[in-house]
Amino acid sequence: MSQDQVDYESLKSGGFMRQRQHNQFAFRLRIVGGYVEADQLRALAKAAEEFGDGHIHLTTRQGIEIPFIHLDDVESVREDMAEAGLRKGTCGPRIRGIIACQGNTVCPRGLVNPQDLARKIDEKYFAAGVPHKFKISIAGCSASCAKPQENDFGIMGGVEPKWLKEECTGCGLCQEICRMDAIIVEDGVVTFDREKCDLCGDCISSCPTDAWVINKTGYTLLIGGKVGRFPQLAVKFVELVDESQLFEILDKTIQFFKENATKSERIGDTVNRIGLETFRKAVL
Amino acid sequence: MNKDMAPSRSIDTCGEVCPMNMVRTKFELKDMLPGEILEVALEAGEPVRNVSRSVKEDGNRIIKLEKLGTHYRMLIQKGE
Repeated sequence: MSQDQVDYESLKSGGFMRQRQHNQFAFRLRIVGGYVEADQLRALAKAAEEFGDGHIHLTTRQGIEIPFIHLDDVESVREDMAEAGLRKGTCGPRIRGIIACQGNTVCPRGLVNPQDLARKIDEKYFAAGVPHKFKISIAGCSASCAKPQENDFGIMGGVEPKWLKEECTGCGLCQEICRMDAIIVEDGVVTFDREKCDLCGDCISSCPTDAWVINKTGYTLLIGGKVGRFPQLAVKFVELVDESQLFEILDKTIQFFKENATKSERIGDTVNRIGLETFRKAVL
Repeated sequence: MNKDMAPSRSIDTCGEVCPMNMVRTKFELKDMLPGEILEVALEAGEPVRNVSRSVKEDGNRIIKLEKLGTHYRMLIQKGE
């Protein structure tokens, strides 16, 4: 294949990104939530040695790229990776690879399973065409290690606590550990400020007598985060939705983006321009 | 103090960097018998948060928490 026959756009959507070096490409993989099995790592190592220059690149979005793939080897790499269960990644104006922490599959603080949710979102939306790049990240709790605030659509696990008076000894531990100052314990009486609570669940997991219990578990959703040249943090627009509500809202958000974004506008800018309340009305 | 509440061991984790306060508490409890009480001195904030969570997850019970100026005194009863 000669260089003028190369369809860079099709290569790009297929997860091959042109390098500055002549006829060299980086092969981006479709990694979900940073989950890669040992056998896949072996296949990656083999491909990097056979077709690349012997190294892989870890992207900022938990992804993996094999750089220095010659144009002639593009198809071979794709086939080898597919055999190992690793699919092509994406770039451009599409729904990008999903970031997720390990949540309650590993982390003591995790309140939900972001890995499972990431796989479901990936299956449904991966690489779908949108007006501009659209990044999704899922954090298992409000500690936000997966940085949902930096993404176009952020998801955060949360629990709403409930206080059981009859179980409480008034020890004051919950007041001490609450980072949001949402709990005051005075003379054995607990006052809970729901507005201040960030749904982290620390009071529940720490209470010695189980006087704090889960009232509701769900997902808090954020919209409009991005970094780039004009960074802004995503803002919270709804709390504690369940999984089916989440998918409904995500559908409507993508629809809203397609209908309202001007060319090359991230959804954060669309929401800034049209208004958060208008966005909320459209998707909730 | 009630005789039953008397700690059989005592550690001071003030000045320790997380997660060492939690790790030291865990190791101390590991060598104790069910029902025995461990007294732990802890700094406020993150140490109290981490230690209380881990103590509970391991099936032990915090039976008392006292604020003593800038630090806390926690009594933990080793679980079965």
